[in-house]
Amino acid sequence: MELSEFILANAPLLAAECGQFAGTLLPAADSLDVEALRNHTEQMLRKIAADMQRSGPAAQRGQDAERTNAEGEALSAAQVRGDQRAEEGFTVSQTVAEFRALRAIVLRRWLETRPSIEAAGFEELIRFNEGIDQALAEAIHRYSVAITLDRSQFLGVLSHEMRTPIATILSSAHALRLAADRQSTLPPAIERTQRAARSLVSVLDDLLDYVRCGVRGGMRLTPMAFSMDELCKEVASDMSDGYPDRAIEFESDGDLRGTWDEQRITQAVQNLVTNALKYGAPRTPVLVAVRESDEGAQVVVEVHNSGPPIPPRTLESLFKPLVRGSEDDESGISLGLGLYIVREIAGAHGGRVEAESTDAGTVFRLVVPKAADGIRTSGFGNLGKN
Amino acid sequence: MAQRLLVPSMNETTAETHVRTVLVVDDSRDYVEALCWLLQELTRWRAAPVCTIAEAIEHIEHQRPDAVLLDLQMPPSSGFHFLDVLSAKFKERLPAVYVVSGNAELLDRARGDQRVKAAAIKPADPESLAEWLNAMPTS
Repeated sequence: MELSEFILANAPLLAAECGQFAGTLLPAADSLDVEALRNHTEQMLRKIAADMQRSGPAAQRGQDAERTNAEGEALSAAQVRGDQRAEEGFTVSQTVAEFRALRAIVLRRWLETRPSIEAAGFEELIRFNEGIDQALAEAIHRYSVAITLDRSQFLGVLSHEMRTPIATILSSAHALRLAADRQSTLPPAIERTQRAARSLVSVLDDLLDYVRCGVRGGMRLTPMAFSMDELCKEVASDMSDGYPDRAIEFESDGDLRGTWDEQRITQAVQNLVTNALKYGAPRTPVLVAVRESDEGAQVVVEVHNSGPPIPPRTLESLFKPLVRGSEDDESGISLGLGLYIVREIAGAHGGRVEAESTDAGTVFRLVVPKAADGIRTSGFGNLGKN
Repeated sequence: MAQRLLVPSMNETTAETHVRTVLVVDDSRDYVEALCWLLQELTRWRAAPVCTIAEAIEHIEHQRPDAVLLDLQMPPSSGFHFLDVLSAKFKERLPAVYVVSGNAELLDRARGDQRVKAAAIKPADPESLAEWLNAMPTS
């Protein structure tokens, strides 16, 4: 059987085998299901095989569009793959490695079906390699475009998040100067300046976490033993002071002691409550509920807010860094790093975070094992401390 | 119950037959309070602070502001939604709208919107905002 015919006849099996390889490319592959791992591989193979059966150089053969992007640009399966791998957090080396694996899998399986290769077979091999190289070039080009867009968006987000606290600091300083000049009553500008400066520090802390998560193989933790209900109750109480017009309710049930990184869990719960206060219906309460699950092996922290349901497509992208909920959304939903950092904290504890949104409201669920077995430690843990 | 914003009332000596009002809409309570305090010091306008689009809509149900300083990125709603409500309510008597936003992309969109009289990126200079208000002819 000719190579192109072999590919067309076995495309699903070859794509599945390549998907298995993609599943080893961690940490990005961790959050993807089988379908996402093999997505577009079969289409790429079919296109390469179809091109092999046509004449002319690879770059001039069929331009079968797999998808049209938001700008109306027709994209091939390889280009879509490049876009997706960038968005899913694969490195460029991992994206290239998938093509290397695809080439090896196809050729190994094909050679198993024939005892030797004659001249026509070598010609097919050359055409197949051209096709793979063309697909790789298309994918890497799109990958680099997506990374550049991400970087621009990242700088836009950073600039936006810093502008309001800076505006507050400048206005408050202006007010202080006016008050001093006129010797009038001092406005409460000093407190505002302090809050705005703290807000800037918080943006920079998030930024540092984002960078560390990306380049150091994920967040590292310092675990210690404590009770999750006490921590959450304290977070709810502290945050109530900062939002006097909103009620933050708290409830808990069961034995909620375990071993986690106290500072990081505090940060995760604060981020979830901040998110609920910001995006929930105004003047409605936020509920923080803590309970056991998985027969006492896990603790679940749920943060619930009222408000219109979040569309499923937006829900999927909420935990990705710097990904906009929708192109038309000008409210700012899912800009920022808060939920991404919650996901990283959950993952570093061997847990997960999930969101569910219905007409009854939106609930974010942080699920972490009580035991410290799955924790990614910094090597400076203090497991015995109470 | 919404928290009362910390903006002092107008100085008695500035009283006119009609004190013009600027509605200041931004989701940062601290920024709104600081800006309103300054605008009342630097102009003869009364500054009304609101921190959500819902509060802004409630405000215009009861009174028509003479001008609006409007942030755009106001989750879970948006400044553009408020602009729609404002223009539907007041039609040809639309208050003068000055957009102040930290989002350059949305700001570009606002600059192309005929309902917006002026726009500036945060941090906008409070003296420029005060000058804009002071230069506005009385209707």
